[in-house]
Amino acid sequence: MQRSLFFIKMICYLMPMAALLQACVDPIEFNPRFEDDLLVVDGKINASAGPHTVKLTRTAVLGRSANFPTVSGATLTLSDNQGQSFSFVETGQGVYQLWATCYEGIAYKLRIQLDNGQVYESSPEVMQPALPADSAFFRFDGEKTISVYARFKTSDLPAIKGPYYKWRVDNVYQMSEVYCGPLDPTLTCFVYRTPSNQSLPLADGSRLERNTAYDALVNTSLVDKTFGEASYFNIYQESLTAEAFNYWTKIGLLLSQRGSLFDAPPGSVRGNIFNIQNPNELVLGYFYAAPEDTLRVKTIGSDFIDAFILPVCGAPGFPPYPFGLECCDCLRVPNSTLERPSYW
Amino acid sequence: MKCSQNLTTLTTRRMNFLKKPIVLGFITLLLLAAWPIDTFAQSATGSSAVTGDFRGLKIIEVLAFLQKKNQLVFYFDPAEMPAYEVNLQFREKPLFEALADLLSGTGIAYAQLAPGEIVLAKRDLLTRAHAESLRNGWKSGALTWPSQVTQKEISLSYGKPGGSNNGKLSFSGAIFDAQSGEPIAGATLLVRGAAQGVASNAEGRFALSLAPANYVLEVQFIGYENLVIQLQLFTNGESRLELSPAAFNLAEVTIRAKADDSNVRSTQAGVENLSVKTIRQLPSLLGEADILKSLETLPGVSSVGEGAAGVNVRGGNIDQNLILQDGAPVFNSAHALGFFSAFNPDVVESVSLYKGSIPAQFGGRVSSVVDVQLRDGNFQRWSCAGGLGLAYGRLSVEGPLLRDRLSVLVGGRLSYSDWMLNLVRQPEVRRSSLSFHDLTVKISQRINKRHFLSLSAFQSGDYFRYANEFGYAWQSRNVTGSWNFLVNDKFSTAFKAIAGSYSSELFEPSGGGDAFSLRNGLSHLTAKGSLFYQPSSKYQFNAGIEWNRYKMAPEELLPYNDRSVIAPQLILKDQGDEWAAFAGTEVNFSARWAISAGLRYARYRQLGPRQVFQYDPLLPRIPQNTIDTVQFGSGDLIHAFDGLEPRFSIKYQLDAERSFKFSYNRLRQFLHLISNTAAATPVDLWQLSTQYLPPQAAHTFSLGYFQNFKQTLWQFAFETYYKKLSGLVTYKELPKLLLNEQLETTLLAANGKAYGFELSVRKTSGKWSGQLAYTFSRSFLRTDGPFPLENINEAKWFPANFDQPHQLNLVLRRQLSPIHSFTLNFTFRSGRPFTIPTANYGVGGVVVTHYSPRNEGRIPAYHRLDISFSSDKTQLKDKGYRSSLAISFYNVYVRRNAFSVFYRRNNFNQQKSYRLSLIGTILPAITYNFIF
Repeated sequence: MQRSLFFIKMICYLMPMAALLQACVDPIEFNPRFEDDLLVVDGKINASAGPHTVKLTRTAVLGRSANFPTVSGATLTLSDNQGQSFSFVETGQGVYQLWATCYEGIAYKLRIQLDNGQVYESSPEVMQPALPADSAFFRFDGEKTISVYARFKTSDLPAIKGPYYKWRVDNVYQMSEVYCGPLDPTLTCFVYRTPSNQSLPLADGSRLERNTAYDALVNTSLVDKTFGEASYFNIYQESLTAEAFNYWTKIGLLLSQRGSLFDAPPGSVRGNIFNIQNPNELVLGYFYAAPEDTLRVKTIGSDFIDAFILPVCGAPGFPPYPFGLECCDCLRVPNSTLERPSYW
Repeated sequence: MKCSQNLTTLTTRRMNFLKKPIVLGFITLLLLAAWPIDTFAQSATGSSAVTGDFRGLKIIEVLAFLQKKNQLVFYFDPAEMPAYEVNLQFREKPLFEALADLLSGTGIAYAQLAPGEIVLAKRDLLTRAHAESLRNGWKSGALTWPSQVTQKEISLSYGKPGGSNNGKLSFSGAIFDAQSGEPIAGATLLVRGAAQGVASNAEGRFALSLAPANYVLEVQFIGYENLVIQLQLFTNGESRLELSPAAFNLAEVTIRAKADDSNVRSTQAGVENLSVKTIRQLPSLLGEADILKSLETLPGVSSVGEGAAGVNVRGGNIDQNLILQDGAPVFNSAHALGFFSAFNPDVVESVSLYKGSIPAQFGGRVSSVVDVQLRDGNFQRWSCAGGLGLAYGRLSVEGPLLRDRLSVLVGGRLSYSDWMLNLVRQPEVRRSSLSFHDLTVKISQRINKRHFLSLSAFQSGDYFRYANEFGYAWQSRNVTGSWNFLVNDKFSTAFKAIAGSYSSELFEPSGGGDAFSLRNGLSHLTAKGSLFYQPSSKYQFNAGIEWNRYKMAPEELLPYNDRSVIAPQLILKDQGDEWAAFAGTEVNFSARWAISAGLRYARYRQLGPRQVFQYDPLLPRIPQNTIDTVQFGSGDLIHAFDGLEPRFSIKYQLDAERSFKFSYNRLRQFLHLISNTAAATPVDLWQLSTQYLPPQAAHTFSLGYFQNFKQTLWQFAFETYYKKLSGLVTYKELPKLLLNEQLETTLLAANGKAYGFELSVRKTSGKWSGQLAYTFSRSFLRTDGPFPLENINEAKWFPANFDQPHQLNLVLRRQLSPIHSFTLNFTFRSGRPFTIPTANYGVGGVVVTHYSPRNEGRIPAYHRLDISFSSDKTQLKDKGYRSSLAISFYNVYVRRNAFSVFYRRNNFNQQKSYRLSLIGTILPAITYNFIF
């Protein structure tokens, strides 16, 4: 529903009058200036023992790929309103992780000290009660698009403002090699990927009728050969504070900019991180505490029989010709593993 | 001269030799085709003598005089006749010698086609065939006298000379349309030979104060034949004067004000009047005449682009224009999301734009007033008019229910644009629907000479649905009742009662569980009473009171269908009333100095019921900092604002053709359009002032220099202005404006400044006419909140969304013949500001664009050329079926004007800049109009 209410801007871009009048979107040379070099904090903890991850990066030049400069050497501390504090460990370039158990109802605050001495703090985030997910399912349009939904019963919702939902989705698909010779075993890989359609599914529970079931559209993907075998959509349902929900809603608005008549003017989205020495410094990103529940949706190749989808390396006994090297060595595919997920 | 014989003699003599008419005609044709032009031109003889002083008259006016006095008929093409004035005096001069003097140096020759019939044409065109063509043109009515020279004379006599009355006498009365019986406002009544004149008021009334004597008065109004009055005034006199509509009105084919030299003479600056005929002649989108879009050809008026509702006047936001139709405010003036305006030109009498001096009787907006006046129905006869275009059809019917007493006018428009949607390839567009309609009804009654009643009703509706995914519906309704009471010749009163509403809906039918409908709107009531006193042509006074009541409808979220799980939600909105008292006067101290001064007092009250949130004053106003709520009962006073609004203009007229004007206005606005999109949407909220949202207020100053050349053939204007504003509404970054019961947490009050100058040159008549207008205009805002979160761009000045520094408009019209014309319209304006992307960052698994401070960039400039050809026979004298046809081409050189520039990732995950052009091609259109 949030999508509905806030994506009004799409209207003109799609509107018939504009189409009738030969409206067009075409590239234009318009070189933006690059002046900003800002700290970006992308952090989240959930009601579990961890690991909890915070990524520190900096803004990057427009037009380049999404490899953002990382910020290493920082000291990160998580503190709660019970007087406890925990330290993160840098496990990768700009990636900081914490193994500690966090609980619902507790307020948490992140403190970051960069190696240049600058200190940043987040405003406190209260871990909300977990929102139980009910089920998930998908719909295939018969041609090329699969839509994945998370369903929950609104009768379970408290009769107060909110709760506020956010979903993350990733996908794991199975990829079976073809027979490439007697010395090359035929393996099955599991490839992890994050849908890159730049969507941020959100919902405000207080806008939903109680005692019914709500189907939230959490992902749409194009069906291709990777759906030719089994695949799983993993749906992580997060419960947000009103402030976090507000932040992600604004990020969603930015993602939907189409330059149309009814676009809200874009702007910078300030998160909840502040430089305690210089409060006017703009820090991007957000740190939030949100319990999550996981749902899974399984698809198999025959679900898409109308679209005549074949597996990446062909149907068993019918390899495509020619086939790629990854059909003899599926580990060549980025983010692939031979370890079968526990839920598979 | 021996060889020169007049055509009649020649033809008669040849008939003695050639008995067969066919042979005669053939030879005559051959002879005429090769006839030496000098001989032909000089062959006429005339025994009539001409006496008169023609200094300062145009050639065509002298011809009109000669035709009348000498019982002649002239055949000529009015478009060929030079527009300049002559400096001739004749005393018993033979007619043809006088004609030769008159046409000397013009390249135009004359010939006598038959006794009493004289042809005038360019020398190289003066053949028999052309002469016959001209004669046929006049006899068929295709050619007629321009309105400036078609005139009627009457004599009025009041008393006899030699009486004892040596003081001032009054000559008063009212001016009416001879056909429809409607009063004519703005007609000028001039005393020939004296620098004295008066304009009729809204009821057509006028009053002149004159010494006892004989006078020649001339009554003029654009679109009507002149009326010349031989007045013998030796006692007070009163008369009803009637002007006849011009049969073919060349004056209408140019853009000009109601009175030719009102740009120089009137006290007020920055007032533009457009006739509907002028509007019709401008090239327009899909060929449809558009009241509001045509304003964009005027200096100081712009919009953010095609498809955008409303106009920006002198750096003001669209909600700062008070748009009135017959006195009733129109809250959404757009059809089809802004591609057309909601006013039906068939029922509109006139459009006035007040962008400089704003009279005290208008209030409630800080930028301009667009006053659209509806016509009264015809009091004399029934008629029907209509038109068919590509997008919609029009039909209006009017006539007397009781002849001379009661008339009705009904006009409506209905769109049928869905057929065009079916031409588009995308299946979603073909499944879409776009429709609108409007209906206007006006009933007018003359109870007697002193009482006039009218009741007008307006209803418009729009529906837009994109496939089955989402849509808008909105509608406006207004009912206006008015009573004009003429107490005496000098004193009149007017009362108005208005009720209206606006409602809009956004719906998403296909969202499954999300399917919803969101509604909002408002209703309003207005009562207004005013009086007008004009004891002499040098002094007038008006005063009145006005009451407005606004009630904002709750925002209502509803499930769209049974499958939807959306919970119904109701967000109550504000209500309030606004009282105003005003008085104004205009004094012409001398031929040079005149002032217009007014004072308006406005008081606004925010009223309950309402729940008002209280915020911690030491913290930013955000929902988390709410400390209390206060509940107000129905009718409880929550907050009030008031203030005086002085209005002042002064004119210094250097001579008959040059004047300086200065004006100052203080204006307040208690109603704000909450719209944070590039163009307003139908569901944008109208929000009343509250304790958190102060009224908008403006001090506006303007100074202008106005000059006419060759009388009023050329008009030049230079105006400069400065506005200082406060209480402007701006928004925090990416605010949530709909369904927000704490809307004040998203809004910021800003100060503003706007300044610029306007230059315009107009040619008001002749074969070529038109206007060139250049505007330099800047508009800035600045917040001054106590917290960083409550400031934009670190509390520095930043340009408004509609800040477009340079604007150039050219309208050129070529009158090809009295019926055919060609119009060209060129527009250039600077691109509007936008917020520039400056970097990328990753958060939550998505790549987000980071932006510069607000409105730091500017999209490319906008320019466009449109042309149109029209063939218009609706102005001919025939009373039967008449029609006009207009063919137009919009965006002739296929400019892809950027409506916006934005960034998105392409298929290779690279961030690229794109422009959105709403109209990316040339748009031809054809429109057919008829009247009978």
